[in-house]
Parts: sequence; C-alpha cells; structure tokens
Amino acid sequence: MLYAFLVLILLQLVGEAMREALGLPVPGMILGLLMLLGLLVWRGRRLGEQHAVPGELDAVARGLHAHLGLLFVPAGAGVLAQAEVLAVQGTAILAAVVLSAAVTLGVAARLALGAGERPGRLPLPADATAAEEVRQ
Amino acid sequence: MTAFADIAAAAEVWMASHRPLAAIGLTLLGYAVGHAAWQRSGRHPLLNPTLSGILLVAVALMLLGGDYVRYFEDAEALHLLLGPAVVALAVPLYRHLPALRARAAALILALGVGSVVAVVSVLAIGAALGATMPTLLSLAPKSATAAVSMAVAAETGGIPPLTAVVTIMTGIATALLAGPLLALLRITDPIARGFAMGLTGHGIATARAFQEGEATGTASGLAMGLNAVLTAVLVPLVLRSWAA
Repeated sequence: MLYAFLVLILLQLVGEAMREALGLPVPGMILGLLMLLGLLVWRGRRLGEQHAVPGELDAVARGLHAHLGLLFVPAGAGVLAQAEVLAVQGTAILAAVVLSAAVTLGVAARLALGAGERPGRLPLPADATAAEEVRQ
Repeated sequence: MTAFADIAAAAEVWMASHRPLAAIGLTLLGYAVGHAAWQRSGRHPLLNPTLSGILLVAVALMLLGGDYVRYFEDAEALHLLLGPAVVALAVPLYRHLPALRARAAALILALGVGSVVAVVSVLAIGAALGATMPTLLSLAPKSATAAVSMAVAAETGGIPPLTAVVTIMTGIATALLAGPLLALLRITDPIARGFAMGLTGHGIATARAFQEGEATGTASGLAMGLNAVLTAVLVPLVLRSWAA
C-alpha cells in the first residue's frame, strides 16, 4: 500500500512537471499513466513475467477503481455551484449534450467492435440486462 | 423554532472545526446510499451511484445551508485521489494489452471518428437549437476529461466554468445512456462498450464502465486518455474549418 501509493503519486508529480516544462496539452495524471505502463512493460520483459503486476500495486489499483465514481462526487457537487451558467440557453445545452453523447456512444461502440464482428455475439453484461428487463 | 436555531448554531460552531472531515463523511455517505440503492435495484443503469451521490450531497448542503465552493475545498482530499486513480489505470491496461492490441485497428478508427463526432455533433445540435457562439465554443471539447476540456475552452474563446458544467453533464449523461443505448444496439463486447463510454464521457463514464468489469473499465480508461489528447488537438482545427 505504502510503496504503491508512493509510486502513483511520484509518477503523477513527474507527469505534472513534464506537462509544465514541455507545454503539453495532456494532464499530468495521463502522462503518469503512460510512464507507469512503460515501467510495467519494461519490468515484465526484464523478469520474463509477461503481464504480471506487483501484488501491492495491483491491490491499490483495484481498490481505487472499485469505487472510482466516489471520487467524482466532490467535483460534481462543486459544479452545481456554477449551475447558474445554465440559466441562459440551459435547455439547448442539455439537449445538445445528451443527444451528442448518444450519437458518439453509438458510433464509437459500433466502430470499436471491428468490421468483421457482428453485434450481440456475447451475452449482455448485468447492467445492460437489467435495462433490457425494464423495457420488456 | 428557537430551540432549532440554537441547535443549528451549536452545530455550526462544531462543524467549523471539523469541516473537512464532515465534508468527506457527507460525500462517502451520499455515495454509499447511492451505491446501496443501485445494488438493491438489481444494478439499474439509471440509478448511477455517482449521480445519486452528487444529488444527495447537493440536497444535504441545501438543507444545512452550506455552500458548494467551501464544500469542494473541504472535500478536496477525495478529489485529489483521482490523480493516483488515473495513473493506476496503467495496471489493468498492462494486463489487457494483448486483447487491446489485437483490436488496435478498430479502436484507432473508433477513436478518430468518435472524437470528430463528439465535437461536430454537439456543435451542430447546439447551433440548430439556437446556442450562441460562446456557448458553442464552451460545448465543443465536452467529451474530454475536465482538465483538458477547460483548457481547450480557455484557448478557443469558450467559457471555462460553463465547460466544467457541460463536461460533468456529459459524463453523467454517458453513464446513464450507456446501458439502455448499447443494449438497444446489441453491443455486448466489453472492449467496444468500454471504449465508447470512455471516449464519450471521460472519467465519470469510466467509473460506470468499471461496474461491468475490468475489461470494460480498462477499455474506457484507455479511450479517456486517448480522447483527452485528440480533443486538445482536434477542437481548434474543427473550429477553424467551421468558422471558415
């Protein structure tokens, strides 16, 4: 836990420093992600253990991702403070955001499936199945 | 009434010395209630725990008379954990690298086309609905993670606070729409589902994607990272050709 957090925070800090020094348009945390990925690939090759991750780092990553949604609550609630910006054109903005999200989701998902793949080859995940049941 | 005012005053004095702890406790409580409701509903996609958490915190702040700006400062420790959480996306990404590499061509196409569709569709729909130019400029980068979308808006003449709001709204809309829409399109493949979620709705949709499993969450995190970079490059180009 201790070393895993230290590595994650140091890599983010290095990422922030790189972003500022090089004027990159990418957040430091994403640069940190790329550096950690590079380190894991290098470690896997050196040890000859492809796709094995140090247990401690794996446990911290799983812990952070299991409730990733929790970490967006402060920003989400904080943004409500600025909801007055929606007083003008709020309906148009809401409609544009929702419709654009729907179109983008559909196009990206169909293309990510690949040309040779047909939809519906695998059973739907639990969440999507719940949606199906509600509709029926 | 006076008794209530006394209790409220005493609570305020006590809260003043425990504000960060109270803000984090309130956030955990709101999310925990949202998460429990989602579980008990059979994981219904519209009962998104992040959205429930945000709404419950907002209601609590309204009832307690707290203000959002101070709340955000107090709860910042949780917000700061987003950084290590994003860096840690490298761990599942490394594990799923072979599966993602095998799909590289389709994913690159989905990224390129999806990123353009995210920007152009919101501009076209917004313009058709009568949104003004500063609003359109604020909407354009909304599918990228907030740090990038706000920076792009600042650079291209949008209003960064409005971009912050529409970016969060896009994440929530994507998280809510993903289940029903991808079921309708019969897209069941975890990588395709996750990639579309992260590309469209950044981190909030990635949290949603992790609810389906590690492969979906990982593909979403990858798409979030790639689309952050592409949106930063693409939006100024699209706006230039759109204005011309």
